[in-house]
Amino acid sequence: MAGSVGATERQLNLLSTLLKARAPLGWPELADIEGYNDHDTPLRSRQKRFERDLKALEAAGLKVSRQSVHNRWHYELDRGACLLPPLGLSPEQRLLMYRIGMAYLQGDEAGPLRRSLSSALMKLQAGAGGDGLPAELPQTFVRRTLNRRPAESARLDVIGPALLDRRRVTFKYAGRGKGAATTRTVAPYALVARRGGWYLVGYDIERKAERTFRLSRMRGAVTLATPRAKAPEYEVPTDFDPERSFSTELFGRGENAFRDVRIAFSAEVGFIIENEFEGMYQLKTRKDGSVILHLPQAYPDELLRFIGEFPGHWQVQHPPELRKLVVQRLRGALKNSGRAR
Amino acid sequence: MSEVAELVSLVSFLVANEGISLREAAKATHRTPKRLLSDLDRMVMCGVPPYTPSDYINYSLRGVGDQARIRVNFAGHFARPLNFTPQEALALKYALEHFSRSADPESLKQAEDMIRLLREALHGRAQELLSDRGKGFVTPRRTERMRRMIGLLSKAVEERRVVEIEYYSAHRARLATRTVHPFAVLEIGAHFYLYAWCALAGDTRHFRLDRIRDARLLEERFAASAPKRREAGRMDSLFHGTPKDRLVVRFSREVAREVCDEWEGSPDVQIRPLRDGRAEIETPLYNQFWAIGFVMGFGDQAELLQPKWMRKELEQTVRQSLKAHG
Repeated sequence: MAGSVGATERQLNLLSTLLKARAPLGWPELADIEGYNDHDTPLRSRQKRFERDLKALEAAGLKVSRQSVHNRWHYELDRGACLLPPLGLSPEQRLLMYRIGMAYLQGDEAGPLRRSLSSALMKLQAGAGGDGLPAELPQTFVRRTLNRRPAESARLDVIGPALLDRRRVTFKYAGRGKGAATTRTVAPYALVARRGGWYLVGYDIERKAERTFRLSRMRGAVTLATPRAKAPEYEVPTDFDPERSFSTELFGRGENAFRDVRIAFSAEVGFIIENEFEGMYQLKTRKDGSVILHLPQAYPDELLRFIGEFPGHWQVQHPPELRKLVVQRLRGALKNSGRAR
Repeated sequence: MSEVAELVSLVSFLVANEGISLREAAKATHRTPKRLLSDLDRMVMCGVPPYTPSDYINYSLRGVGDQARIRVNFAGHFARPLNFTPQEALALKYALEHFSRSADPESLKQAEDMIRLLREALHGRAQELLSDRGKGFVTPRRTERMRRMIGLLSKAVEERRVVEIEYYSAHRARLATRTVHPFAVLEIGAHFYLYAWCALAGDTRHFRLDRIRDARLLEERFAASAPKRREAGRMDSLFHGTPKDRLVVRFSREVAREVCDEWEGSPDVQIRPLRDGRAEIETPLYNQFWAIGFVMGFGDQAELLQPKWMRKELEQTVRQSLKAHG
């Protein structure tokens, strides 16, 4: 019945035998393994199957060396390279590893790190032996999710694993211009979250340059560019900085941005501004608890969206041109509300 | 990631933790008890020549239900886990980096020590990737205040301590003190939330962490668990009760595309592009204070079409803001 053995089971049997062996194994010993001992299948096909399985094990990080003994190939696992070195984890590190597992991997929406992170943590915990888990398992935890807006989640679930596997992705993209969406093939270098949305930074194959793509501007599904490829397709350059393409100014910068922007927030919401921006931007807390936020520069659109969350609790103080523009916008909003009525 | 590597990792974990309960093993290996048993069933078909009964991996369960204790037999050769694959090394590195962006000082130090330990202990490709400066998932770094608040409330959650919070509610547009039983700290979208039972509301609520002015852990501990119906981590779970109405907003040509991109695929949202380039968005209205801020944030680029009763409030809020600007 060996012919009905599935690929996973066959590879597990092969791995078990290689792990247990104390000397290199030749084909006669390998041919005894379940999955290679179906004598109805021609020897050449069984050997080809064996070669494919070796490649699959190598893809899982297992190095199998081959050497010729009496003109016949013999195979052996390189234990030094294949097994995790013993790791002594402190109680705090054990708890941290457990927390990270709970934080990213519980529930149905475990997201793009799901399989690889789970397996890595299990290995770490197993490698620490009976002490791999914290003495007392916490019942609850901080829950983290990389997924954000629903439309982005599905794309993130393809691009995230592709980034781990170093595989190229392809998608239709409608940039800022009015032109139709174009098909792009990109080697993902990083995913960056800014102002509530995700951006892919990567190497655009056709344009032969690094580019940034907003996930919400992708159209339809994202797929692997070469689904059948097994090996990594690129390397991320060692000097790559994912934040290079992004402004450090949260509300944007550039020639048309307003400079030296000051906004006063009432005492009731002042602490929210401190929670968000203390240490990032200059803040001045006045005696009455109100807070003045000082931004080196900002675009009015980005800024208005943010302060819109605190209706009636803010006032633009500087520069006068921005104040004038905000008043104009507010008047426009008032006119709109009257018109709609 | 290969299925073989995943199953071998599972067996290594169970060999190292002989006698662990099914419930704890499932939790620690990030799967349901049912899935764990089905994965183990796949391993019992695995053995080595000459395939006598003691050459096959098997497992036994002592006890009943999720409390049963697991023991895996004849799997000594899997006792030492396999080395990290490049993907695993990267996933761990990315998770530790992402976790650190909002970790309290103590957890941050542990995360940094962990990365250092791995760099020193591992070798080959995994070591190279862990030493690489490149980041994979980059989110904004939280302020010191926020990271401390995340740490404090996580402690309350783990110790089941009742907490008193001073909270600014967008719904009520004012600060109020609430006593809560914290169940979890969640990062959803761009914000952190405290999921808790609130004595004032008599129900569970998601509290945005940046809207908590102060949090005080009380000596009192609570016993009740989070309700089963919780769907933590889902965007739509942040809204409670029945919608008050339907919110319909029309956006100008200048902002329509941006808004449609952002709202695409959201549950219960209808997007209607208009011929002239404008667009209308219709969504259930749960919170009029949020809705007023949302529409106002677009200034003259958005028109509130429905509900009609909210227009008066919007107008008053806009007038108030205009008055503040003289």
